[in-house]
Amino acid sequence: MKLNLLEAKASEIVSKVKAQEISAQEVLKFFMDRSKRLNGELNAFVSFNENALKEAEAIDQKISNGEDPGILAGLPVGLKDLLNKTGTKTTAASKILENYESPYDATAVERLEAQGAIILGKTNLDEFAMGSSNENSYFGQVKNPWDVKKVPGGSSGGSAAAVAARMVPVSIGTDTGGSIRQPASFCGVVGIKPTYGSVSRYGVVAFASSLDQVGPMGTYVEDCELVLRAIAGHDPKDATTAEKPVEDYLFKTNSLEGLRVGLPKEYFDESLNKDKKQKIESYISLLKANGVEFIEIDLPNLPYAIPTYYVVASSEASSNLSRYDGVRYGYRSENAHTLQDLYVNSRSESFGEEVKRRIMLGTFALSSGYYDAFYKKARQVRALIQKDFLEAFQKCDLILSPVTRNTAFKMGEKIDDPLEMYKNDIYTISANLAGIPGLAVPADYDEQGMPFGIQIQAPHFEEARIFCLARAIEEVHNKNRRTPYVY
Amino acid sequence: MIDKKDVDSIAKLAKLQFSDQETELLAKQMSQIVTYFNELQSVNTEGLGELSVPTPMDELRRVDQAVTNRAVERIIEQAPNSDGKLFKVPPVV
Repeated sequence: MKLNLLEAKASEIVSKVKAQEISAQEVLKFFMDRSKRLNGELNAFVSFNENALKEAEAIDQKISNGEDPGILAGLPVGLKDLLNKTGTKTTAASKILENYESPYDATAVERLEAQGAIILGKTNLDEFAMGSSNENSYFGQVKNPWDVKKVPGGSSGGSAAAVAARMVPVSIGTDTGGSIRQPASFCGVVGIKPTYGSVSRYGVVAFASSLDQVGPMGTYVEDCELVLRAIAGHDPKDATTAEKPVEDYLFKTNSLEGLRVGLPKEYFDESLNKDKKQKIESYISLLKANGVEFIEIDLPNLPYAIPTYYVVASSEASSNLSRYDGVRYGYRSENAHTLQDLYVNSRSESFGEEVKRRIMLGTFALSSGYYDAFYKKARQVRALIQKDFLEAFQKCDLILSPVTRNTAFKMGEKIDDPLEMYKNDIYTISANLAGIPGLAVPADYDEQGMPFGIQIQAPHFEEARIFCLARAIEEVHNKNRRTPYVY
Repeated sequence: MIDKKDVDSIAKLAKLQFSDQETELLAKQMSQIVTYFNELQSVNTEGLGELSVPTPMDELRRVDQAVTNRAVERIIEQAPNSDGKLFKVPPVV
């Protein structure tokens, strides 16, 4: 059977490459040509990997020699430009790192390549992953492939748009407060933020270290499972990665029968778009018919998730970003006559508006006199939010909810109101605060044809359960699957 | 709640500098956001510990062994101004 690269699952591409029915180079050329052709309109990529074709050739060579090319043989991957890959720049979509050449590979990249994946290029993002719309990139706005007047979401907006437009079959994103799941929902693709401690952050530009996780995005649920298998697992270079064997949590098989799924009433209140609510409820009815049991649950501290998150994330960001000082790497101001000027001018001339705002908020929350009232308090409320989830998981195996209140919004609509933009993350940030895994799977479309997803959350290291329910939702969605405008 | 003077002193700590117009806008935006942060004060957290790492973690240990980092030269090459293995900066005082 001929392989349709616009629709094929990642595993289908890999098996045809391994069987030499198509070469890794042919696959790469197809996606590279398509990416370069569409990038003028979508701006999903910041740069392309100039060595990609040579790397694909090496995979073909391995196969000809009878060596094992890995579980991702010849699979082109879009890499969020927050992860280092030698031979490419790692810019974090910031002027301060505009010319930064990756000095080494991130562990996630090393693992992808060890399994035969080819990094096709570096995807666009909100500067330092701070944003929910991709309007904060130094390299310009990414467009939503379903409607180019709308945002793709953020911060992994380039990674989501690239998969939605099939510029790549899969991509890598990072998620600090919803940065994989929200753009996945806005662009109609699958994305998972794994459990905190699943995937190494070595070689990933840091934003908020107690929240950041790396995760895959793909057209199908199965694509994300495959890529997560390759990148998850303990890394001696990142002490926050769990020593748990990946097999223990990714390879378990689950059945829908008898699965108890919690519906938090705080997620389904009047602020959720009515049409969306109705469409999600029709999934719930269908799943009930297939043996899934639904239980109403309480997450009483959810209303405090946004202030908690923005205090913690901004504080950690202000500390992490203090390394950008114009001394060792990155942008250096030409107008500095003293060391003090060098710090202040280099940072002021090259950080974007949103990044500066977060550094200021974090510096404030950590400053003497405010530390107890804000930073300490937020970390205590964070403990309460996690406790809510752990208690809820006594009663249910998974939690199902929307990903966002609304579908993708118009560019420029919220850019002047940072607080309104922050509130956009209400359904996703609690998973980062609690450290639990969360996945967004495409569900349906709104009246204007814009896609939206359903979010599934699970206890720590129960990704296998999430994938099981996500596959069931995907199977229903496949009957109604549409393709975006750029096709 | 946060005025222009506050913005100036926070900026000093953050090693950032803003124009008058930016300072005014930041004072307004930060006031709104910090007012929102203040909602946290209504939560009873008496006697509660702080959550810093969200996943239960064992204390990880490894053998203390020296390894060669081949990226050192590439890292030093990124310096905006260097002299051998030293980073050059303007006068400190």
